[in-house]
Amino acid sequence: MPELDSEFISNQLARCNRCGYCIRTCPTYRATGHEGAVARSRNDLVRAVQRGKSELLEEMGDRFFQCLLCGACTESCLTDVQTDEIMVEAREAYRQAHGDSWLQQFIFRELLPDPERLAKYARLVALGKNTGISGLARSLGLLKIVSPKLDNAEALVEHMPREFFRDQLPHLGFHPVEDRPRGWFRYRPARVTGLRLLYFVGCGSNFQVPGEVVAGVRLLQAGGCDITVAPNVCCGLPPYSYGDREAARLLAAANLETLGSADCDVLLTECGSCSSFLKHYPRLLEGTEAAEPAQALAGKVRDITEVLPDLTLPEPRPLSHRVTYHDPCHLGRKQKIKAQPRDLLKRIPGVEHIELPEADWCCGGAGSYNLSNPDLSRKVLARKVENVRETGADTLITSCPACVIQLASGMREAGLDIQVRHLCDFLAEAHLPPDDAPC
Amino acid sequence: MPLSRYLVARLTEAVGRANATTDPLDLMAYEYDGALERSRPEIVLFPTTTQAVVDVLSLCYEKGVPVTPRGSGTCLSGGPVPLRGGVSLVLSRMDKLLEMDVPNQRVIVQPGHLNFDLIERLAKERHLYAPDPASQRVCTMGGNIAENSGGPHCLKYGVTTNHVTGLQVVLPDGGLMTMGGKALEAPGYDLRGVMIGSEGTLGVVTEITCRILPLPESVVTMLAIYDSIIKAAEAVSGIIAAGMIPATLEMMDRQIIRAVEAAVHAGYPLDAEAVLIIELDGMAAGLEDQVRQVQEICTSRGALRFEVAADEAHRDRLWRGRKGAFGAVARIAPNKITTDIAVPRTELPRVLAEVIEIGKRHGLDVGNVFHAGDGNLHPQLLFDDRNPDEVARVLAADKEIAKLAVEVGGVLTGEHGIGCQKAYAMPMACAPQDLAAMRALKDIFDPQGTFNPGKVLPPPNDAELQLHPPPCASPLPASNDQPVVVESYAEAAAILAEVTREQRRVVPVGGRTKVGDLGAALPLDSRALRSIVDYDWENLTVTAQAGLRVAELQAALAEHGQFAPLTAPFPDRATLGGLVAANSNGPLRYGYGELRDVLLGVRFATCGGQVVTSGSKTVKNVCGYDVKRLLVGSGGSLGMIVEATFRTLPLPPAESALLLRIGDFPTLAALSLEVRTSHLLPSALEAVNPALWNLLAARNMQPPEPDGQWRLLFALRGCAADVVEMRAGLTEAGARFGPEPPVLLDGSQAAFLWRDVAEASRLLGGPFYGLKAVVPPAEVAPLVAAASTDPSAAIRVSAGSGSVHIVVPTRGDPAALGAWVAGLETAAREAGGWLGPDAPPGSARDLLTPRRPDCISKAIKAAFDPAGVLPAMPL
Repeated sequence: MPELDSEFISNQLARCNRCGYCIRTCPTYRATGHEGAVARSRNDLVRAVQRGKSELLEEMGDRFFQCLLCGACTESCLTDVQTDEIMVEAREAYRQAHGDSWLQQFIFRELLPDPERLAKYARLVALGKNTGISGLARSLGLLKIVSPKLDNAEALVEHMPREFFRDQLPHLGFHPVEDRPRGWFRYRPARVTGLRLLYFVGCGSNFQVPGEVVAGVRLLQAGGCDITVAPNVCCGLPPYSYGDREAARLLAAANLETLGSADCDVLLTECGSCSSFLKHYPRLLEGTEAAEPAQALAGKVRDITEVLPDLTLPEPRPLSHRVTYHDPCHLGRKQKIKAQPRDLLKRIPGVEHIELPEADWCCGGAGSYNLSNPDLSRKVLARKVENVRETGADTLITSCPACVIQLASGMREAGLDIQVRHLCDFLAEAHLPPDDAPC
Repeated sequence: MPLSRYLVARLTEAVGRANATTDPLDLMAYEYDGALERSRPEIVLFPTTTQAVVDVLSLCYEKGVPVTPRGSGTCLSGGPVPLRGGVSLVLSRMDKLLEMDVPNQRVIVQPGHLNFDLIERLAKERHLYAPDPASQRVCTMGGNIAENSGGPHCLKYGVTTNHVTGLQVVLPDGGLMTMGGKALEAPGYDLRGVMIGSEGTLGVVTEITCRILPLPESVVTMLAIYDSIIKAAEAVSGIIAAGMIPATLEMMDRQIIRAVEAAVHAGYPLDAEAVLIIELDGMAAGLEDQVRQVQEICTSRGALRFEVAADEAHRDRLWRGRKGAFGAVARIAPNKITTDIAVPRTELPRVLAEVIEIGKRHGLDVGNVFHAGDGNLHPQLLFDDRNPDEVARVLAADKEIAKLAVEVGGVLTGEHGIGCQKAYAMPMACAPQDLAAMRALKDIFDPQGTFNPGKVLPPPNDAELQLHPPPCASPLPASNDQPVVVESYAEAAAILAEVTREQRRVVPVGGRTKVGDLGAALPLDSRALRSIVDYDWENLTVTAQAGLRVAELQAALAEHGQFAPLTAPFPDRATLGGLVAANSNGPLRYGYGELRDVLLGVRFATCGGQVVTSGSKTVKNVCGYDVKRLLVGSGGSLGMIVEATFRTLPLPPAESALLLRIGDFPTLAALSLEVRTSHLLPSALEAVNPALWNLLAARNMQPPEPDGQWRLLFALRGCAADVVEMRAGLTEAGARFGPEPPVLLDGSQAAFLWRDVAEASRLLGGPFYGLKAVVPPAEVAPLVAAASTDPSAAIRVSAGSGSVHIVVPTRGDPAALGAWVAGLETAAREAGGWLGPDAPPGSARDLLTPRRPDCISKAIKAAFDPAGVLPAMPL
């Protein structure tokens, strides 16, 4: 098992004393009560393989892929064992031993590195979904890591947007950048009072929740920011999570080349997962030539929730809402950004913020987990829904496209009249006049 | 032998398809816990109902398939590892909170409920469940029962067995049994006490009824740093000697301090040899003064630094080093074994030094984090499990540490359990006859030996197999008129063996305050056994012979400013052995716990001619089955108690009593409920009915003026400020329930009243029936109403605890009396409790509906008294 040979893995696995402290916050364990679904058991399995006590069996795939990679176990671990990283390496070893599907290869190696081609496919999927052609709609999975269990996909997303985010750039006052190839756009305010920033457009943001991204961009515009949009590719988190670090590195390298050339203070995104993974580039590219530029780029990465508090935005108008906030794993846990979103909400007059019990527990969305492990995902989601219900909130706010989609499907299924909104969308309603269209 | 397909199908059917698996990867996940031992089950079952547990166990018993129950698998002793394969019975899906009963201060949970989930839920009701093992965030309540879990708070609050009143248990053969309930006491043998700490080897607990307490009004955290462990230990002793029982006393030694400092920069000086974290909790009024005292004591013992947390953030900072300790040691080596021994607190400095020595001898890094208050140590043996030689050295060191614990009068395990890891050491820690007594219990519960096999007890060794009753030195008197005065433990054992051979009935007696007519039995008098064997006042324990009178014990303890929270009626006559055998509890039980909570160890002579020891001088002890529980309230039916070990406590600096006249019982009950669930901590809430009050008043030379009013008597004990606060708080609460202000009683008035109130039968002066009912504390009213239909009945209600003591003169119409008693029985049953005879038991018993013993209790009686020479089992 060449992939499980690293010193990192060996040391990490050695440190797990099987004390079981991961049980408390492991969403899959708490949903099933099954030891096989908790971090110490996952680690034990990998250790058995790594120490040559067991073959890397085909059946082990389910165990490795059942982990949400939410990282909650590490937080409660006395010895700081990073089960999510162990799982990524285990998945990699597993793929090498048992192979990839053609579809995965196609998505990670062909689609994700080519934004235009990806957009074409996405449009096809949108058409299928919105015209009710179910066969095509099922190919929504193409945007995601593919699994045979795609039945869930249709229920998950109510409809696909007709217009993606990038399509809307011209309406938002963006203009193509002259001396750049296709795909570069820039918005210059009359007077720059905010930041000079490069906006990273995530895949989920672009294809699934473009409206929310528009809201975020409009907030930045109102804050007097000079915004550049580059033809970046996927951040690389989906293949990374799938255990295809090589594909992730290729995407990261492509992004480094594109984004590294831009002249800006900050690389910004409103997707908590993208911002987290962009910050992870130095570790991903450790030991390669790209390590140094990755370090430089990562130093500029900010999530939008880190920037908004310092921008001068128009005074918020009062909104009458009882809201609660769900911490996306990649934002709250991996980037420790928990206070800012709540503070932003509390600034709005008339908004009552109720703290969500277990707010930082994974919602079960976990990228494409809801497609690959629909049953478990639903069980994990059920706990979240119950906690949301308990708050009595009318609006659930979060800050990651995958969470928005997952949580919205949870509320729909539970028949709860609770709106799920991206933080940017909610802030835009408060801070911007409804008909504000900058040009 | 692998499970047949038929059996797999039947077992699967019992729990439902979604709750059973034989998938090899699933089986792998259930082959370990936090310990090193591994063994794979053949099937994993996740029952979701009690019925499913019954079905699985019945089936497995019938087919002889091993079953090993499991909670979260965090016990660190291999308890849930299925050593002989078979069924891994996982209770994680029985995780519900079944009932939250704040008025009665009880909750009922399923075994898979996590300890911390309960604590979080209770916080919303401003209550807490006291046992707080370090793994509380992940361990299950069922697991807590199995290990009799303690935690940092147990010096003050006790361990699991002190907080569980009832269990529903599925026995290894599939039989369903209820042990106890919401009431504090249950009739018959204390089987729940035996189940607790039995490490999941006697049955599967499917419902747990726990006692909950109001959250303390205030908590203060302090940190003291020392350049020597001895000085730190002296500070701990000083704090306790000053009359304070901190909620937490956590200490770290040099090795841990260095590791912590490197990892989390807690700001400890490099010459620190001991860091002590002290937490006091209780009423805010008294804490300020106590904190000042703690500071004085800590600095006078040479603290390098002393800090009091000013706010929540500061508190977190003081805890940061301790909480980061386990992670910090991981920087030294990837793996650790957290060993677990408990020793008398006074032995701590010596044991710590010796543990470091043992580590050195084996070339291992050892750090110590320990609960300084209760003497429970967790030496951390650091190693790398990729190095087989190091693993072997760690195991060797672990054994030496266990041996050390036994040598200094401690126990093999305080809270992690024997499991399969320390079973080998049991003969080192327990005498052959002690092991035989435990094995008798195991055989009764699990005659096939297929329930969680290979745990707790090793196979019997020669010494155990060759136990023989000794011959009796001198012949026994032919007549029963004169008691045999027992002079030694061995003599008691020899006599019991002899009468068993002769099939001659005997009855162990002490002060005879609870024994009525002895019948045709030879009395064995314990009163010559009256010395104090060991009074370790620094360790807060006393061991004394069974014939010592309660008053004599208290006098000896008072010389060191301590007392034992034993409040027996007739203390000048009542003996310690009799107290235990009768499970005699006085009014102070509310503040200090039941007799069973105060009792740490028992020695008793058996019909097999042995002297069996159960328990120790440590608060924490899960070294084998808790046999001593059976002796509490056994009425001499299992053997003759010859020695007992009790917890002692510092005498409270201030003491006072309040008397409140209150119109009727329902009003009184409402006031009691409010007090019980408030931050006020009276040591007793005793209600007295008009008939009893008249007797008390007459006794105190005041001609009684019948006013038909109830009285509520509070005992206020603690530091001066607490007593003042309680007085004010109770006066204020009382004003909301009645027009009259309470009367403050002076010391001697109060002393007489407390004594007399418990000795109503003496005041009555003639023949009488004594009855006792125990019900959940908020359900007393209907019972009192039923009892009050006879106006001559003197009724005392321990309103905090829910026990009702009734004394009624023997006169009048027997049929009317029978009907009255039947009414009481019904009321007690409907309230979720029971009615039984109180002192002396002989006559009142005839009026009560006979209770049928359960099969386990019958088997226990038969095992300990095969010839039936001892008194009958009390029911």
